[in-house]
Amino acid sequence: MTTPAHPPMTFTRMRALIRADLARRLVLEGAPPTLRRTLGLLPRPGCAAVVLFRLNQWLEARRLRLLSKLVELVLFYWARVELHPGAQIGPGLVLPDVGGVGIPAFARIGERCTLTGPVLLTIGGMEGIDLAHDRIVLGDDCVLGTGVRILGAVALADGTQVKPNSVVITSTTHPGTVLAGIPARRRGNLPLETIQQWNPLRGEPLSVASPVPQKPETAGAIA
Amino acid sequence: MKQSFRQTLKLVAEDLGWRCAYEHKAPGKLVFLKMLANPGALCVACYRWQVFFDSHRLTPLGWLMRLFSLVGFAVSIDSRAEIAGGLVIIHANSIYISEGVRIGPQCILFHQNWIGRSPFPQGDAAQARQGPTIGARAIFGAGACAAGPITIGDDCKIGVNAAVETSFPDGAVAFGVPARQVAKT
Repeated sequence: MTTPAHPPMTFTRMRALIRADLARRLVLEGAPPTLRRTLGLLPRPGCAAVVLFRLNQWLEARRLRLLSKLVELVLFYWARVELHPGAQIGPGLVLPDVGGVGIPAFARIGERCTLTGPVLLTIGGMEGIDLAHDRIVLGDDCVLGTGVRILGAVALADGTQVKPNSVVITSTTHPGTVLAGIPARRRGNLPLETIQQWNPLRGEPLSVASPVPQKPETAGAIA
Repeated sequence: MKQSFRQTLKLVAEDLGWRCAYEHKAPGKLVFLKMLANPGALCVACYRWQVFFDSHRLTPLGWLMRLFSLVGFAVSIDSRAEIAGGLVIIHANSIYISEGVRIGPQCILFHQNWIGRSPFPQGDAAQARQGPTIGARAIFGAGACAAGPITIGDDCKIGVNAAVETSFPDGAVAFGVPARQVAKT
């Protein structure tokens, strides 16, 4: 759940992150990890968004501001997604094909997270907020349902499941918490193994043939 | 499910006819043509042709239809969803309907509706693969979503921003996050 600051984005790191994202997407879609299927994913808005976001981060690190702004525009019109290049998102991010996802620069998102449908992470109001230190932190294996809004400097533990249309304003500390409601309250708990073995895209348990890539081959480059 | 050319035309006409009824217009060929300039009507028509193309092995054309509504209006309807005639989308914006969903005739969707299989762990595998089954003449308010293997009866009204994860009987009015039945029509 601890998310240390990510190292600066290099080309190798960008490639490793994109590879990890697409690998998880392929696993969730139940497709074999062939080049053909990977390329077939790319025009899908959810995948294009992830790839362009990583590219955007790299351009930002290279201080190619104009190019990065252009990529951001393409990102917005192609996938209706606003991902700030300053956000730190771990490998294995899966975005849906539809709906706007707004992630600001002060978000720290763990590995293997799934954001479905319109999702907004924001610090609402400026009172008592220190933008230099306050972060929105999501642990590993989090799943946000459609229409979820996270307001304020909130930290969610590993495997937190936020039910659709909830508004989250408080942090969770226990792994596998299920949150629902406006404002979101704890509605239950799930074991982490169940969460990790569940396919949020297809809504069924992951098949044995395609387990979650816990440690991708490029793990060294990512860490 | 094989959908013939004639069936597709009939379904599109049914959608537009029900939309005419909703907008208090007299149905006619010219009105139908004008209506296709409306994003919502266009998206529904795209979906009908997508089903037609997909069931006639013209998958690239079906894919093109889906991409058009997706990039143009962020409306994504899987061709494996079973939607009866008379679907009306009022505002074409961020609507997602996944496979395994069954929707009855004359259903009305506003915007940012999400109807599909639950992304959260629940039930066994066979059950989890099902989406919601929605009866005839249901109305989904803006931002309402339905997820999981549930059944929503005929003439249901799902309130604005409601998150439906349990079954509801005929004529229920559901509201809230998570949704509860607040009234009966």
